[in-house]
Amino acid sequence: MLIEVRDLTYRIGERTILDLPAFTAERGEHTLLLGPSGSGKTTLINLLTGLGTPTTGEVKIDGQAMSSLNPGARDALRRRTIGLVFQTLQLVSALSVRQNLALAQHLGLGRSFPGEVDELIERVGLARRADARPRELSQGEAQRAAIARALCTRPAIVVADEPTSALDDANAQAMAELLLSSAAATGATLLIATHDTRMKRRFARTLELRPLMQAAA
Amino acid sequence: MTLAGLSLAYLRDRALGTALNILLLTLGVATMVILVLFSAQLGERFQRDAEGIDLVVGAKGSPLQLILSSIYQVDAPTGNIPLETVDRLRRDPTVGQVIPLALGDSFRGFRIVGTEPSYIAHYQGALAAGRGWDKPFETVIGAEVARRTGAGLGQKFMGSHGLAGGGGHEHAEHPFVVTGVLAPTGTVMDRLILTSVESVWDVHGIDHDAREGAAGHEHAESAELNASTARGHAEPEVTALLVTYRSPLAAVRLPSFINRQTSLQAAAPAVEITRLLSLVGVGLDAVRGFAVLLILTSGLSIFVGLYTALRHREADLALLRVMGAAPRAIFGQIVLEGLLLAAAGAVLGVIVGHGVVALAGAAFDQLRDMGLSALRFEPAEALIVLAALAMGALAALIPAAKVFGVDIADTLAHAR
Repeated sequence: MLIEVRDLTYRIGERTILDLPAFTAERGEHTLLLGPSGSGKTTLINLLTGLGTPTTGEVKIDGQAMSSLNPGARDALRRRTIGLVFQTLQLVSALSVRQNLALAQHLGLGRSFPGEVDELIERVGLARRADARPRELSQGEAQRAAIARALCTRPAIVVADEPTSALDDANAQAMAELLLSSAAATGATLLIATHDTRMKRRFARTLELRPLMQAAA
Repeated sequence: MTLAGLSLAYLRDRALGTALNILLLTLGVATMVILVLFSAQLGERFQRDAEGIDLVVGAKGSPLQLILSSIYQVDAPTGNIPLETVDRLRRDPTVGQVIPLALGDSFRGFRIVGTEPSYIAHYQGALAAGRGWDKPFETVIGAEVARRTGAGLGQKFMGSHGLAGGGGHEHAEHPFVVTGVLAPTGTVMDRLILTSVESVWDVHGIDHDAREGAAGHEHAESAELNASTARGHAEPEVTALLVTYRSPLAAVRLPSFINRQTSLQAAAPAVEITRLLSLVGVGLDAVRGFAVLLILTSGLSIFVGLYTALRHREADLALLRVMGAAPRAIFGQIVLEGLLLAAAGAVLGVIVGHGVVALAGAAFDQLRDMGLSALRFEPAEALIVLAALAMGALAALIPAAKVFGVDIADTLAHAR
């Protein structure tokens, strides 16, 4: 089992942000995480990737209990297994697209593989923008670069948080296509959080989160 | 691309700020380096030239002026003293050596010094070519004189009255000739033209009976001869005497004995140099304080630069953490930025410092005469570089510590 979640809750004070009794994903089972704003999608992603600690319950990634590791070990597990794509937080500002990927590989794999980097940049259609700085890229280009960055460490899981919400229909479609084809090419399993229902028909599995009212209600 | 490479990339990304940081530090370090070079080389030069000279006897006036004019050959002499003083001092059993100096003329800014061969021996000079002086108007020139004037053996030249270059009327009727060239000694002697005391008298028309005798009988290298031949005629004088003690007793007795004589004064180089350095030292301290201030300012500018840069980089920090960089590694990356700035400033500062000294030496003959060399490195420079590096790292510590406070989830929540 690649992702395994049991009895997961996350509370801030009296307020329950997330309550997920069970969720699993096998290798290759791409999952769309749906739900309106405030339904706890981001919280779930933080817990899955070890950026946050659950109030109760357990998260297992590739058989390891992410939720009970110390911060350093969490960083290591995330580095090994998960590539993250965010809506706005895409690239390190001072580095070109190619350098971003090289740095990601250096941090994740211990060294960089220039051939692989170029191949990925080619795949996301940025071959001619490889030496551009993030601020010179359009929103769509930056998002594609971020996908390449997330994939270049050969992660088993790619987690994407709202990757398409800032894009128009055509670009959103292209992005979904790109995520799926890239995942197929690198063997990564996708977990995509979105409130964007345009993506719904492309994914077989969905996990729908509903906004939780206050615990007292 | 590594985290170290990322440090460089960030510095390049804000090139203007980086350049200003480096420039400021360069100025501070260069000022400091120039100070170190000046004071070390000047101090050493002062020590070397005065080595082995316990007392200088000359005409009354400022003791510092007497030392400067007779040992370092930089100031005007205080006046002349009777030749018989030489003999009187030589008869004193507590005195080891007396070297007479007769000043007054120069050639293209190089002083012509009438003295005895013991002067060359005192500075451990060796002839690189030719021989010592035998007859009046024969001269031995220092290495620097030979290099700068291009004069070689057999070269004839006219001395001009006065010690400054160019000025004064030429003693056209008395040409000097170069019979010897000295090897470099790194002392004041390198830039002197040495000749016999009688030559200087002759130039000025002082009759001492030596000229007639010089061709005939052997001109022994003994002062008694000069002194005795001079006696009875119109007051041959010398300018100053460099005295070495034979017994420590002389230090107690001799200066006060000489100073009691109406026309003479005795000055101890050690005392006067210390006085001079303490006078100059106040100025040096002020410049040093200014340099320290510059370096501290540049430290502050590195701090401010990094601090503001990091405020715009919170998203980057979170992303780096997401990409798997440990907080410690990112901390190191930021400190490295401070270190790189400091290293660039320090290295440039050392280069500029030496460059300025080289330019100053080229522009001002007096500095070159002082033996100021731009190619010598002082151990203190390593300390300056280390201090600059430490300051760069220190300036980066507080901004870099922010990375430990970054809550990735929180930053992400605001950034996305």
